[in-house]
Amino acid sequence: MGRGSIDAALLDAHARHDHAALVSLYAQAADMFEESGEEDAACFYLTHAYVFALEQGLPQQAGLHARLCAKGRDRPRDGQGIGSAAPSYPWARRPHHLPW
Amino acid sequence: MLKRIDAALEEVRKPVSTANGLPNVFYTEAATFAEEREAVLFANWSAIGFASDIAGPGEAMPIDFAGMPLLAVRDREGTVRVFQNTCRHRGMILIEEKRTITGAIRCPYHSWSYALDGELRATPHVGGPGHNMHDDICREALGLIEIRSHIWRDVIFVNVSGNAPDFEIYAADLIERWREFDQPLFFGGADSAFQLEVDCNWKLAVENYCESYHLPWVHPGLNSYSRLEDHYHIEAPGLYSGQGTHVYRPMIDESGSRFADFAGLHSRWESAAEYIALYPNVLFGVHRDHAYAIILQPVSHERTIEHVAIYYASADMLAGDRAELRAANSGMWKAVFEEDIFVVEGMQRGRHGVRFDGGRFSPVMDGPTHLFHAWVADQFVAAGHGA
Repeated sequence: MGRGSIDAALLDAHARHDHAALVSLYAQAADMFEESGEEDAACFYLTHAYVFALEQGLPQQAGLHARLCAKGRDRPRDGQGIGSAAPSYPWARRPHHLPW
Repeated sequence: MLKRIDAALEEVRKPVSTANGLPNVFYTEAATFAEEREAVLFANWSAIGFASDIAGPGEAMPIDFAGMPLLAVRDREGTVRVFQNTCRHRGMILIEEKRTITGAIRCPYHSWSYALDGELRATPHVGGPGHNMHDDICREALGLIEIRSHIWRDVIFVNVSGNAPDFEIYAADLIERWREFDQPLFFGGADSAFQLEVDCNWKLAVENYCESYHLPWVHPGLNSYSRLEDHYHIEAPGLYSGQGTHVYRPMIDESGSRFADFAGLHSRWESAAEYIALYPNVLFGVHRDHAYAIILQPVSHERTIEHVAIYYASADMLAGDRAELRAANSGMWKAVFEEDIFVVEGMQRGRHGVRFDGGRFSPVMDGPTHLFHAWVADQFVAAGHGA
């Protein structure tokens, strides 16, 4: 999916209040910018993916948060994530990529 | 004006035989309502909602409490907390409608996000785009403002000021009085809850509830089996007041079936029932086979919403085969409470009579109502009026 397609899909997901789709789409956008070396843009989209995952209690929140922490854009927190069955913060083991 | 109110408060605090009621401004002026909010509603343990309305994990319910936005939340372990429904960032309302929070409470403005225990978990872009932290933003100090709360008989109470004694001390006398009823309550569900919106000050609903004097005139149907002389006053100065009856009869359907009784009650409850206003704003009723609570939501100085919930003694009473009887019971109470509307709304309009002096009480029949007036006056004195 290209940038234009992701933008359109994001607008559509926002219009439908489909926050699960927003997590996936923002994460894809983050990956795209990360690959092209645009770190600030990547972290912007990563932040949005993380916040919508946190809001919904999705298991992706841990990995997204770990990526932000690894980039120095957020800070680790003791304890559990929110809502998911057995969340963990795997930044020590997988500081960069997230195969979710 | 203040001196006039102070003098009137002293009249209210006299013994019932010589006292006057609270002056008109306590019912007709927004400025007095604002004072009352602090001195009466926020300084004490006030009722704001039913715990059974947020029965599931993550359920969150916004509540307007005399203009203050609150948020009642049940976390995943079952604990109910009450927060100010206001984001610590720009003061945005966090939750507009009742819903289930599956993860975090996300502010719809800038997405600061909070855990169900109030902890601030995310501050997106707070240090610039893609930078989600800043040295000057201490998340640990910016959690949701928790309001002191307590649940009793399914009612969520809050003490906004944080200065009242613990609820168990505040309501100790009533808790002890109804110790026998201190057992699981089973909320009847949708067919056992209703709301009444009334154009009156919330205090008038308390005052009317406390006394049996009006029953034969306003509720002639009740009087056919529950005469005035069958009632007794319940008077706990400074705490609560109400009325009791010696002739309660359980509702029985056409097949002779009725609701199960609460377990282990003293034989006096065979035919007794009690109706008590726990100050400031919750009205309780207990009977051998059901109980109810009415939360008075003060919307403004001239508008109140009455939230009614009815409870039974066992889970069996919630079954489908009891639906008709539950509906009949709800219908009976709704009809009774609706009969009171013209009275409380009429008293509200009457309070605009500028030469009304607060009214004189029957020294014999109005004791419980006077106790409530005197308690409200006491709260104002405690807040700095008079003396």
